Amino acid sequence: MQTTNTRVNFFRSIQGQILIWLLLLGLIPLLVLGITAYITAQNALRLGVEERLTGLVAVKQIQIRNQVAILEAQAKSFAASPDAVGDPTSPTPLGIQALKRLQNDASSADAYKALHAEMLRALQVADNTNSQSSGMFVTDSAGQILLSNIQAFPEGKAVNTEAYFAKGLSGTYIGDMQTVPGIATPISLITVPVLDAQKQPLGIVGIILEQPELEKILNDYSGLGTSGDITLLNQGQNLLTKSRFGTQAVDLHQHIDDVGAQQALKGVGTAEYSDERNTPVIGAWSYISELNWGLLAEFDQSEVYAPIDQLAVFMVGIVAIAAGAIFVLALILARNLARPITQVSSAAGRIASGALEERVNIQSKNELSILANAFNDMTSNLQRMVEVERNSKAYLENMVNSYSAFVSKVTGGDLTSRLQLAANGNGNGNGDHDGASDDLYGLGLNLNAMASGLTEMTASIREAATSVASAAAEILASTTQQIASATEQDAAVTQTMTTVEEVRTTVKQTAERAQAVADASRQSVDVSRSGQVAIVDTIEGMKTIRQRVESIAETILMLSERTQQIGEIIATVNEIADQSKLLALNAGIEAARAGEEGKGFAVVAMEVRQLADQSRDATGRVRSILNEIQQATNTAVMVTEEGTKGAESGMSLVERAGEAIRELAATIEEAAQSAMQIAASTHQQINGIEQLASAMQSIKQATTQTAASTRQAERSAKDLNDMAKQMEQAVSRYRL
Amino acid sequence: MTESIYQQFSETELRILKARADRVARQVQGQEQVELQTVLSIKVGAERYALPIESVSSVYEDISIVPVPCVPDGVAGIANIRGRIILALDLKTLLNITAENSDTALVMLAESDLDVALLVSGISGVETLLTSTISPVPANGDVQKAAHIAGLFADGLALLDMASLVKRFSSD
Repeated sequence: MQTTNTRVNFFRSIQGQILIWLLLLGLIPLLVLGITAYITAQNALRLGVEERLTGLVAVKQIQIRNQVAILEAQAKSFAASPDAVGDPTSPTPLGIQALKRLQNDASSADAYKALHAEMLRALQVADNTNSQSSGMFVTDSAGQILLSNIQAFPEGKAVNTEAYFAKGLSGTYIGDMQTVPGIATPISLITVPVLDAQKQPLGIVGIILEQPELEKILNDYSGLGTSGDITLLNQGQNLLTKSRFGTQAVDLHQHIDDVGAQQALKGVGTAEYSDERNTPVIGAWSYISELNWGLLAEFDQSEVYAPIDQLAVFMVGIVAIAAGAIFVLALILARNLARPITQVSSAAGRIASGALEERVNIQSKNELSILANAFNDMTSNLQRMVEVERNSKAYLENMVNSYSAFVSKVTGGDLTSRLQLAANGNGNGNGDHDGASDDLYGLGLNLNAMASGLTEMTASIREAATSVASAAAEILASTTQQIASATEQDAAVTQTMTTVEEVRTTVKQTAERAQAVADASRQSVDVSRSGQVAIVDTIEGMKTIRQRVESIAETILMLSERTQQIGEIIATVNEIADQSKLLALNAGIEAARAGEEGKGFAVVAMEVRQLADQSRDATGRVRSILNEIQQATNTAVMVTEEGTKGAESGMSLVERAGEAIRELAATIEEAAQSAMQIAASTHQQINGIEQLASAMQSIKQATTQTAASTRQAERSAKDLNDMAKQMEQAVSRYRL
Repeated sequence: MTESIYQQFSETELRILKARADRVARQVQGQEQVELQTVLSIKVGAERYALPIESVSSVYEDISIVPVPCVPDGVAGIANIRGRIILALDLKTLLNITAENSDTALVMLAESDLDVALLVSGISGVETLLTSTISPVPANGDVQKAAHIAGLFADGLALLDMASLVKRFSSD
């Protein structure tokens, strides 16, 4: 008996399902809650840091602006003072113009020294009003430094080529940070104009802002944790103050090119990005427009987000503990539910394999105990029904044994015996088997009738077998004759087929050769056609050559005519020259006759005569050149005529060649057509022979089949004969 | 201005300049003493002759001469020049020169009352020569030719004696 598979996949079992669903129900809300809390906390932290950085940048910007404004005011106040502008009411000379005048006047060296000392003292006082300035200087309107308390800008130095001088003359100018020889750190120069009463510039006052003053403001990192940084950049994105992470001193060549540095020179804002160290940071920036500098504050994201990273670790821990607890509880619940069901199912399995005395015992009082009782009742009923079935089977076996003994007697050839049948209901007296004994009695009657029928049939078969045996012997004799004649026919057909195959091979070779000849002649036709085309092209070419040569001849003739015209013109000029000469002679004679008065005219006449002579010489040369041209053109005409004749004879030659090629082509074409006809007829011949061969093949097949079927008939006749003998033998076995 | 120009030169240079100026000025003064003769040089056959310019009126070339019958040897014929009928004398014959007769140039004479022209081989041009270079005709030459030659210039140019020519013609 086949047993059902009692092993179930854990995830499909009741235990597994309960476990999975409880875990999902418990953990999903926990995870959603945790992630939401993380994101909200991160946003809040970031906003807080951005506000803090924005505020810091605003404060630092105001401080830097104040610093610059103080220095600017200091320079302006000196520039507006009588010490710089001069005072007409003063009893002693004062101001830039006076100092300049005294400096140029060699006789007043003492006065210059006194005034210089006084103005330098005033400059020193103005400079000392503010501890953050580190030096001032004053120039005249030509850019020469007149007063200075800085060594890097010595008196007498010309600064008229510097940008701060030109821009400082027309208004307040605040320069970019630069390095100046003589000053250790980079500086920024602030220049203001010194204007007289008519607002005309007398010079400039320059004041120096040193870079460490800016660093004092910016390098205060209170409120920026351990990674907050604040820096100042110029328009080239170079660092103006030292970064918190920078190791080298500021040299104005530390180029910063991250998002914050680019945006800091454009406006105000905040963002998250990766800075120059490739560290993710939160940055805030502000652009100081009047200084053209950008202020940039940055805070590392790792420091900002440290608290919420702790929160995340804590959340992961809670989720892990909750998952463990849910797992244990779900396992206990699932076991309680599944154990009774497992007991019932294993008992059912044992009953299925035949142990009907098996019972289930469940102590608990719930739906599962009801299921166990019903299952026990079902097993008892099943046991009783199996007992009844076993009794009726024993009676049936008895009856079948007596019937089979009778049938084996009949089979043994004893057709004379018959079954001894009891009357209806006369079995072994068991009322339970009434219906079955009726059927078995009927079967006994039928078996007796069958034995009687068999006796009659055997008698008639015995007669028929005798007559079949004599007929079969006759058939056998005639088929043996037929087989002999079929074998002769087969041999003749095979010979014929061999001959046809030989003929076919010969014709095929002929066809292949004819095809090769046809192909070759077709190629010849193609070649001769292309030859014809080439000839036509050549004729065209020769025609073109002839036309060209003719047009050259015409051109040369025209040239010759022109040359003659030129000769006529030359003759005219010659004549004119002769007449001029004569006129000049006459004029000379007249002049000579006139004596002293005609002398000037005589010279003119002489000159005219010489001109006439020169004309004659020139025309003579032209005439000789013309003669050469004439000869050359004559030669050219002759040559072109020869060319024309040559082209014509070439054309006639080519036409003759074309005619020959055309005739050749026609002949070749005829030959090709005949070769193709031969190839075609040979092909037809092959087809005919192949049809003949296939016809012979079918004749051979038919002959073979005839021989085979005749042999079959012979075998059948023999079989028939044997069968008749066997039948006689078999029937003789039965006793009638 | 001229003063300033002379100021540029040294005294030696000034002396040289002054000497040069004197030299040029002296030449001009000396020219008055030299006698010049302006002549028309012509060709007769292969020979060159000179005619005093005072006796020449004008010259022509390529003039066709019409022969006149029954005239003396020296007359070549008559010619039409701008409507005037001119008597053409053959100078070649007059000077006893043998050459091919293909002359076409005419020299109109000024001193004759008649319109007379000399038929010559070619006209070379007007030249001015020093009279001091004239030498007498050598005695061993052709007598007939020598009769019509007044003298020889240094370059071998023979000056014709017009009076003798005209006289011969009128005498014939």
